[in-house]
Amino acid sequence: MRAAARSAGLVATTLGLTVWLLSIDPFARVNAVLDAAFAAAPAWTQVSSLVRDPRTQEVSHGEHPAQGLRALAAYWRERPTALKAVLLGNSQMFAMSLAPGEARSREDERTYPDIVAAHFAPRGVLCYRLAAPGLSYSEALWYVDFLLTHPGLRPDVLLVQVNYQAFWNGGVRSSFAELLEDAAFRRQVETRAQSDASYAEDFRGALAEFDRGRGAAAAGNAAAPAAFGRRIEDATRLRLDRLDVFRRRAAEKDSFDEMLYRGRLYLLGIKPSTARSISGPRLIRNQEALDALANACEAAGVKLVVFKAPVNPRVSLYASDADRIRFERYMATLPSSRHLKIVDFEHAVPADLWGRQYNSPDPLHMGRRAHGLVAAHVIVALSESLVSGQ
Amino acid sequence: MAFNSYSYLIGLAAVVALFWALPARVRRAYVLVLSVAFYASWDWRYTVLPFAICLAAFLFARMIATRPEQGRRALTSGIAVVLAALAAFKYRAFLVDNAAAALAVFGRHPAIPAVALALPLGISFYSFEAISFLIDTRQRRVTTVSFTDLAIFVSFWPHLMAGPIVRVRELVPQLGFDRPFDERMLTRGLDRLILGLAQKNLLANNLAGFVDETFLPRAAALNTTVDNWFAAIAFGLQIYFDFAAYSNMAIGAAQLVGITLPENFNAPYHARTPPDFWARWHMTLSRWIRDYVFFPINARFRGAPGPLYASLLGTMALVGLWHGAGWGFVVWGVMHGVFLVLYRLWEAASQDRLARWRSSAVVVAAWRLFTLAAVTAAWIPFRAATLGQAATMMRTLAVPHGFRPTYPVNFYLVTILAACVAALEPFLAQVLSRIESRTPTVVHWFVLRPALYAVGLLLFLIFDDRDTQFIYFQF
Repeated sequence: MRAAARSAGLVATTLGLTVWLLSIDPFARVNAVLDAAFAAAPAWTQVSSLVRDPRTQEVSHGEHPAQGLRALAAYWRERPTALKAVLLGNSQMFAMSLAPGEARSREDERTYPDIVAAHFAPRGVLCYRLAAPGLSYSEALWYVDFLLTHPGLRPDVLLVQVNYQAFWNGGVRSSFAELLEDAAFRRQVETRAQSDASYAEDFRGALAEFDRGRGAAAAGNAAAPAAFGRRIEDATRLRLDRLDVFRRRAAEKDSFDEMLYRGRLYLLGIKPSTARSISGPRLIRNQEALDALANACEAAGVKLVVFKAPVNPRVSLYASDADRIRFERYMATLPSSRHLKIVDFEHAVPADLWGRQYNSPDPLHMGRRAHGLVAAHVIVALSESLVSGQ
Repeated sequence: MAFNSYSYLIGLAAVVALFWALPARVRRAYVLVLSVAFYASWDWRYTVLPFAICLAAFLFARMIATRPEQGRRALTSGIAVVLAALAAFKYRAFLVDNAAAALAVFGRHPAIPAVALALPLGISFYSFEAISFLIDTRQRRVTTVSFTDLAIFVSFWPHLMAGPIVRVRELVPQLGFDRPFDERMLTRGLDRLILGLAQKNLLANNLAGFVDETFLPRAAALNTTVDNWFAAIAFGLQIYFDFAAYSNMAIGAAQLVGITLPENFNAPYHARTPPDFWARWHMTLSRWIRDYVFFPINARFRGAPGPLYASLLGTMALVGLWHGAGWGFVVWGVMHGVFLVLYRLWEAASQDRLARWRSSAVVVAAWRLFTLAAVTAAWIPFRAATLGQAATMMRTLAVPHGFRPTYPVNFYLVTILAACVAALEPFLAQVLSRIESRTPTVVHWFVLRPALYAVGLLLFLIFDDRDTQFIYFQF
């Protein structure tokens, strides 16, 4: 009896401690201590209160794109005569890292796509920001395929942001897979997945993951559609998800990942601003995906503007001149072979308009004035594309 | 229901509590029903298969025991029946494809009807257990085993799907389930269960994404030498943490109902020599192959070098084939066979000519390094999609193909981090056990152990990914 009581005590204590750890997020506390110890930029310089407007932005940043794109289709359908433009890129489009001298604002901040959208709205041009953090060009192609398989979502102009470091991103994130519920898009993805292109592996992987998630191929080849274990697990998860403490797992995982990331930054000195040499399979996949994106736009009669994104002049992301030359050569091949416009904003933003990320210069995210500056450049480029045939 | 699913873990708590509340006499039936339900939760259509194999093994074993003069024939027939079932479900497509390819060489293209059969989970494991039962019966190591004993032995849920591969003589004596509850059963069980949960979700699953990408067929030719070494190391760590996690969870679950299953891993990447690796990796398969295949063959040849080396290669090819119906697995097995032969050759040479080098620190270190590198390199054919891809990747391991890492730095860092965990695992266990021995029981029981469990559970929960299966389920 005593053994049973002690055992019950051990189990109860364990469960209690687990719930407590889930509720306090210990990793976030470690992160705060690390930031203080390594003199990271104050948290408020990473602006969190930004303008949200589902008519001009995919507000989930790639977490639930289907909902945002459905809303966009409905909104655009009501304005059939308006010209439409989509700005496609990574977190530079929806994040703001305040520069020295920029005070925090009580109002929601606008990033450059917001400023561009506000500029063009009275002129009968609808702009939409379609951005996700660390977007790979396979993902960009994924998005573009979705837009082009739906007549209601087809833009007149597509602006694609190109960063050197983005060629190191890979794969198609699992949250994008929800778009596969759409039959026409799924067929397009299947066609891409069966092609010989390097990015086909990303598309195949996303399709497989989506199908696995739906239970069609769970447990390798052995599970049957009739597997009742899966149904029990579904029901269990549904019930657990109703618990507030259980839903905190995702945030706590982010904190844990952030903790490891800080370890990388502070202890190993490997930062987002560290120069890198990009080559190998990911580079090839991204280049082929960007080529395919250009081809798809050309075939669909969508004007394409590719712009080299601004980079903080305080950092050089190229590990060597050879890397810079290789990247510039690749970019130079794009306009010669495609009917597209290429714009270079790489050096458009001076050093003092950039913020800091953790304890080093932020290579990607700009301050308030920088967003205004980039918006002005984009407005010019977009105006030219809207009125000319490139 | 996977061991790392919420429904299983919640169910396990209830099942274990009820197990100990039940009178000992009904526990056997209770465990049998639970095991059937567990297997059926994956795919009820194949629930009958383990019991059919079990029944066949039981009938042939009775024949062996009651008619010793026909024992040899009964043994052969029994093994043939089990292997036929295994071949039909697991190797059918492989055999048909290779037969068709062989016939095509002679210009024959017979129309072979395609038969699609899903692979029943755990078939490789329970088939080998049935065969060991037959051989043990023939060798009189096992005597009176009832069909119920055998059914519980085969279907006992912790080891049914992916081992450890247990023998009748080590499990059946425990299947009375009449041991009184002891709180150490709980702590031993939870130690292993929670360790396994954290290994699977934190380590194996996080390595999986990187491994999948570096082993993409198109990447093979573009990966540099450094990339491919890291790909092989990452997969070696992934499969280790994945399978060790499963084994820990199986051993832990069994321990919770008072059953001790054999160990399956013992820090395999600490192996000093190729044979030492096999004494530490998937130990229950190694001993099965050693006792039921390798020893009987070599007993016939009295250890003569030629047959010994040939049998090492053949046995390891069989180990490879056991893992899956594909030439990549066979190549993996043969590579290990070659490593074992090389070590035997060295042992033979170091008996006389090279005796003074036998215990030299340099040689010991060289064997340790060779074992680690060779075992790592051999994972490439095991994981690659095709032999062509494996050959491309293997070539760049030896022939420089650029040394620049081309994947994001996190791939290399996570691999190094996981390698550090694998390297430090045995020492961590020692440290924890030392702390435990020096801590007052109350502190240890209500503070230290729950704190460690809670951290393990937290890591399991936050890295939960319901769609990631155990690698060894496909074997």
